Amino acid sequence: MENWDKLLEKYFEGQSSIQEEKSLKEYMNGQNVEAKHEPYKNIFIDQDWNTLPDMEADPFAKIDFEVKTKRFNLYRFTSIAAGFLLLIFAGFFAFQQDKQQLEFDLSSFEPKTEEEAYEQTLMALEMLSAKLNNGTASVEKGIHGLKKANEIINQNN
Amino acid sequence: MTEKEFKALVLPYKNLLFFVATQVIEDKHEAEDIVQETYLKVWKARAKLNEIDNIKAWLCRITRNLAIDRSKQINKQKNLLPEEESYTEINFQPEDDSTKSKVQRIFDLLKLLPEIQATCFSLREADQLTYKEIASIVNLKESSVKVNVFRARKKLKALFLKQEKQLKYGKLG
Repeated sequence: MENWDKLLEKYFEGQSSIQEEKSLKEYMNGQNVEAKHEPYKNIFIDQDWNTLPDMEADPFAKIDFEVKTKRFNLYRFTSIAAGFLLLIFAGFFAFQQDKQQLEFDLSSFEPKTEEEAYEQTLMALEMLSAKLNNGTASVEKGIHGLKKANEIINQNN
Repeated sequence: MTEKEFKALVLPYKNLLFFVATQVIEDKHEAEDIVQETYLKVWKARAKLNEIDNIKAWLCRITRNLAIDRSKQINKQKNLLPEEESYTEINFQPEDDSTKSKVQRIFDLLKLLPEIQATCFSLREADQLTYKEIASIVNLKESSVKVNVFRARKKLKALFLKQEKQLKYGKLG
């Protein structure tokens, strides 16, 4: 037989264990409660706690369980990112190859001997001269045209 | 974690969380919103659920913290309205509560207690959580939780005795 007075005292002092509290609850919700303990009956709720106020609203109303869509979006994002990376790498390698080719081509034009250098210089000067001659011819043609125009004007006067 | 697994894990605590929220916020719809917010937070952190030792205590802690934040927001808004009374004075009025359930009567009396005492008491009584578990929920030391439970019990005892007396006196009168 439990000493309910002592247990009650422990309970109200906050010193009781869960097991002791269980015993107290059973006693207080039973049929053999002593008259002196009757006033404390209401504090000891047993099964009634299971009737906690029920939440009527959907507790998951704010959750979007559409995980599949999110996975799909992630997949799409990953594919796009992978595509971009591929393009960057392809561009980088193409640039490297062009650079190598350009360096190769330029070196092939470098003269190996003094004669070759002389010939190439001559060729370059001839090309320049030809271009300059073209320019002179055009100027001469213009001057000729001006002279003709001048003669016609003089004749008319 | 699938939707089904998640629901099976957290749904059993729905009413307990609702109860924890109503200890801080009286408005039923606000409390429901807090529980929904809690579940949303937990769903977002579902990858870490395996690392949680005590899921029940963890859920209660999230709910209580969210409820406290919401309560502060509500009080702030109330304070911005000068003409509105921000608090209703609680007067203990003995009434014939024979139709009320035992739980309901306790809930009514818990409203007269400071929130922390009511919460500590409820978690201990309703769910038989250990002081350690309650301490992790309310962010207090185990010893402080014990003190709060002890004070709540003392006050409830006094309130029940007072209620009994007043009802008896009222009936006699």
